[in-house]
Amino acid sequence: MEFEFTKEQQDFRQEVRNFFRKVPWIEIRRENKPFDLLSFYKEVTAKGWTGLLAPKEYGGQRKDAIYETIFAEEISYSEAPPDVILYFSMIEYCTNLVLRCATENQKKEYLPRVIRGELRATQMYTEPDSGSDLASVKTNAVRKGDYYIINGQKMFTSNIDSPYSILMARTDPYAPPEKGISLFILDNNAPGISYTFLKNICEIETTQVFLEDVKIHKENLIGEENKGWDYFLRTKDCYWHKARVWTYVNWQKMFDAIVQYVKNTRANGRLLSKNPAVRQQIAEMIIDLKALRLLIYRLSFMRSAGLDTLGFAAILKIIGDDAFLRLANNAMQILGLFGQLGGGTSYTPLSGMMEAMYRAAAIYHYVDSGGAVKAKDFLATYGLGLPELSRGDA
Amino acid sequence: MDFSLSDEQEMLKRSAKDFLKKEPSVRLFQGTPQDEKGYSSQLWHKMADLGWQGLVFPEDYGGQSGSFLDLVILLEEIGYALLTSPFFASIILGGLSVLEAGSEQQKRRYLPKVTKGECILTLALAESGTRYEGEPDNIKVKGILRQGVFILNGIKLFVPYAHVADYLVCVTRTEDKGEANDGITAFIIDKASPGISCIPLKTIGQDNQCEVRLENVMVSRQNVLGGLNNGWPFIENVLQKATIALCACMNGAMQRILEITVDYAKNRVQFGRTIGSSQVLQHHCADISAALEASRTLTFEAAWKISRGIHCPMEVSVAKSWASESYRQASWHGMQIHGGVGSATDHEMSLFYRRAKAAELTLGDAALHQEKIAARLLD
Repeated sequence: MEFEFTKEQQDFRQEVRNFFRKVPWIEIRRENKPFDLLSFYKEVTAKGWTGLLAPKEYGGQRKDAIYETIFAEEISYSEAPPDVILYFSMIEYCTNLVLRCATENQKKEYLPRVIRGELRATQMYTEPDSGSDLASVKTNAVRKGDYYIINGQKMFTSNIDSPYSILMARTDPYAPPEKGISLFILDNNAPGISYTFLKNICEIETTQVFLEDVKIHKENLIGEENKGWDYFLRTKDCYWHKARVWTYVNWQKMFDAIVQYVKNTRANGRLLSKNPAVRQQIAEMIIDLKALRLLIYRLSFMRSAGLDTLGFAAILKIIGDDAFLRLANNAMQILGLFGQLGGGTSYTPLSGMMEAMYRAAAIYHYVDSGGAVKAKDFLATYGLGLPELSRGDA
Repeated sequence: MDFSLSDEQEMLKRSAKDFLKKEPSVRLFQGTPQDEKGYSSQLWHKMADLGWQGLVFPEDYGGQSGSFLDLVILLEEIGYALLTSPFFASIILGGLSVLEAGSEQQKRRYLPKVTKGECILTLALAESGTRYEGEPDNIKVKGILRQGVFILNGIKLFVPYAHVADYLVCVTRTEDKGEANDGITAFIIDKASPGISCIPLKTIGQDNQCEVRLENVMVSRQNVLGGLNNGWPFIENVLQKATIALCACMNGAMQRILEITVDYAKNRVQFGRTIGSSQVLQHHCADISAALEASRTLTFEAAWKISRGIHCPMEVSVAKSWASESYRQASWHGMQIHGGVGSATDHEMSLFYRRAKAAELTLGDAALHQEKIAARLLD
């Protein structure tokens, strides 16, 4: 057992930190200072940081998930805006998907493109009638010659402006639901795709996507036909993992701000830091943060050791989502009446971050991947071997 | 970052698990203790043969020079088996006190017997009026120096296994000036000394805790453990280690609750199906599992730091706070899934329910450790 990072990992962290912190992100965000993002991304790619996981023969660095996590933590600490974080997060998502699910030929073809940042994809999984029961997707993909013809609807697709999507569609309508699903790489500019925007509680624009006779070349089927559900499960741990890294870092930063706030703010004649209820809330927050970071790195370690991590990733999601909700709730209560103020007013404490995080916590705890309850279903059945919920006939 | 056990640690874990599984007297001592000692001395000696009592003590004193992390791995299995024995009292509380603060002469005198299981130590610390063992201002048992001998008077409470202990490490107040943690002196006392009486306490955990009365007990100056009027710093160190050791036992117990509960849920049929197909009960199991893994990770981090000699009160408090809440919660969920059968006195679930509350209240519950954490961050 070892709870310290190796010298090489520490050096790597320092290098990423220095590189990302020398960019004046705050000015770029606040004052719309012109910044050449494209050449910035090229510099990052040249350093090999977009290929941390990929093996050398595909142009990668063959590091491991611990490096991937260090990289993700450091970008988050750097104040880089969400679209920069998203850019790298999509690269990681595609890397893991291709590495774990694609054919050898596809790995050769796709991975160098993923590493260069060209093949970045959002997810087209959820449908109007397939939410927590994702395996019931109805969007169909019918093979005609060298192409699949796609028809159906997708829901809550965010980042529709990314170049590609990973599309989940049914290729065998007669097989049991989990056995007739395939995953495709879909060019988001292909003819036949249209969408309308849906704004969520975080004020993020997601979309409802309509797919009408959209053509996908057979080479863009990931791996084998009808194995899509298995592929989806195989990459779930990476997805659950990464989302928690970003949010953990955000919270760690905000927690430091809250500690300063309670040390410097008086209410009812005494410092908030002397109020026993506030003290307990602060302690609960640091306990959650410490547990979360250790679980994040334990999952990184398990991934890099090649262990089965799906059950453990569900544990991280359960603990993480609980933590995010409790952190946001405690923070709002500490701010009291002013906790309800969003950013932009002169009275708003801590730039309105807590109000925003409380809304974001709902997405994690109740929406993302069917919410924490869905992760509990998964842990109970996949991890502990209890019987799966049987499909009804309504 | 490496969360795996070494080969030796895996072996220790496996052999401890196998041994405790096969040993019938482990089961015998579940529920109400069966003899006046409250544990099996036969088993105690078998444990000594395996080297458990000596695991963390240097070879010079008959030990195996294992690390604190090794001890934590063993303690998880001890907690898993619900083993009723003086291990925690004698090795963690008593033994580590002597190792931490004893003079070379004291270490040579007591430790070789402790590591062989031939002598049982315990720590007499808590007193009436305290909610937590680690509050120095509550040390009121008096040690008064008269003609070169200390005379001890007062009552110690929650002293584990005092009824079978050979020696007590007794924490007393020898000076009333200055800060609460000044003027405290620990003595190592022969329990057979005149003036010591021992009364068992009826506790929820059925875990052999005692009231110890000291009436004009005479102790020589040579029996001071650590410095005169300066006993508190080492007691604090021992309590840090004991807290993490307790967390390890709690994690082992949670692991056992998880296993028996999942197993019961898979096999118990009601309404024509296994109760484990109920989503509510599935989520209880998932909650136990998730909280346990977090608890284990926090405990191991603190244990790793302690093994490296790193002072880590924050990590200790975080780990105990988490373990206290999650073990109690696991015992609640386990009781729910077992229902009536789990409430029987001879079912281990009912003992876990008792012990979870006892462990929560021992060495500080979540609220207490949260206040310690807050003090570190805010004061």
